[in-house]
Amino acid sequence: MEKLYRESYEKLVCVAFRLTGDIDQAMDLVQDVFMLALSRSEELKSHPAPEGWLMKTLENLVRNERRRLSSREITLDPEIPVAVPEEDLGLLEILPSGLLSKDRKILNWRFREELSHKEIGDRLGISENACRALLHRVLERCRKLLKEK
Amino acid sequence: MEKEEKKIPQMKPSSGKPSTESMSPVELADGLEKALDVMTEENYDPAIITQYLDALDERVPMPETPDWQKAYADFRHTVEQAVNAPREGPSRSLRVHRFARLRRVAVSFAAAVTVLLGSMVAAQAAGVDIFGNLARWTDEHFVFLRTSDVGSLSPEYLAQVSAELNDNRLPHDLYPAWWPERFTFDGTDSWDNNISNGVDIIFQADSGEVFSFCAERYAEDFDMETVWYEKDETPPELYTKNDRTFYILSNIDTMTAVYSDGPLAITIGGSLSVDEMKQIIDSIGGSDQ
Repeated sequence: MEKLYRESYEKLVCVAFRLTGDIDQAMDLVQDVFMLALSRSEELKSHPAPEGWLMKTLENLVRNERRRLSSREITLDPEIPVAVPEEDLGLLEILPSGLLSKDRKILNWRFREELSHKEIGDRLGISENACRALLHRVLERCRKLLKEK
Repeated sequence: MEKEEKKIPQMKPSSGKPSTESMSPVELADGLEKALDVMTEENYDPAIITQYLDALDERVPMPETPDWQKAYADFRHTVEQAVNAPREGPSRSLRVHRFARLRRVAVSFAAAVTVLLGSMVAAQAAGVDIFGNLARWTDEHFVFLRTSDVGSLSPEYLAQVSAELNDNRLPHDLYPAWWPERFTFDGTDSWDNNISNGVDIIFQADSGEVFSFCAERYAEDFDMETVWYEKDETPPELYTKNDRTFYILSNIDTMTAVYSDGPLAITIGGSLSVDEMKQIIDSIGGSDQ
């Protein structure tokens, strides 16, 4: 297992980041991959392409995570205003405190600058699908913080 | 789902130019995803993945990450916690909780079955036919099990899902009694917040494919119209069984089936074909109480 970690960990994290857009999520998913690898360690010892197994497992976990996000709550929380016409308040001033700066940045791009998923993906170096999933997670965090307020 | 033999996409930008310099970061990231998607474990080509990653890193560098040694130390710590988790202690992670709960429920179920079978024999001798029912109980709750499932489903599965559903105020037999052979039961997640309470029953295949069966009840004042299910352009297919009409939705590489009748919702989603989805729907028990 240590050998697998040494040889594959960083590459797996890079791929996971490009597929999710979130470095913390990426590291969690990679740890899940190695948990699964642990349960199949005997099989992997004789596997012709262990890195292939790890990558395909990561891909399946990412897909599952996207499915989980798409089957729960998907999109805009009506409590998050996109614009306030009466006063000149920016979107960032309305968002709850406690939201990470990277989350604020993404919400600003999406709802204030009205960038498409593709344009945001270009800025972050992630795929369009990764961008959609990332936005879902950010909105989940935002909704949770608003409910707690 | 069967995959046709597909060529692994090389790094060609949409403009047709051979140089990766003209590929945008999102084109590279999409290309990386597509390359991974068509590769199998057997024909996996690490050089192609490295090529995409290097090109992406030139344009949009990766955030800083801990090195493999620290990550490995964290991993070992997590595994040790999971293995040594005390029976009644607080859970530190989902996996620790899952392992501990499986052990508690399995032991309790075994004890319960022993007691019940003993009393069933006595009742039978007295002329009372009670073999139409089978029950399960632990220190916290008691439920009857669907007898059509007993024998084909493992006691651990029946015990755990019934307990979780019951604990979360859902019909205790609202679970699937069939799933494709390549999947095995991988535990449950549950939640109870001001939006909804629910249970996710998770299944995993050796290939890493996953699907889940989610039973959920939304709060009375919750606006159901804020719950959206993502889909592609394929029209939904309706499928009705036991007075429940499911909408089967396609979203590129995953299928989702959704049902709702008021606040109760059932969502099945993951690496399933439409036929598999329908068979799972056919196997669901429970009444919408």
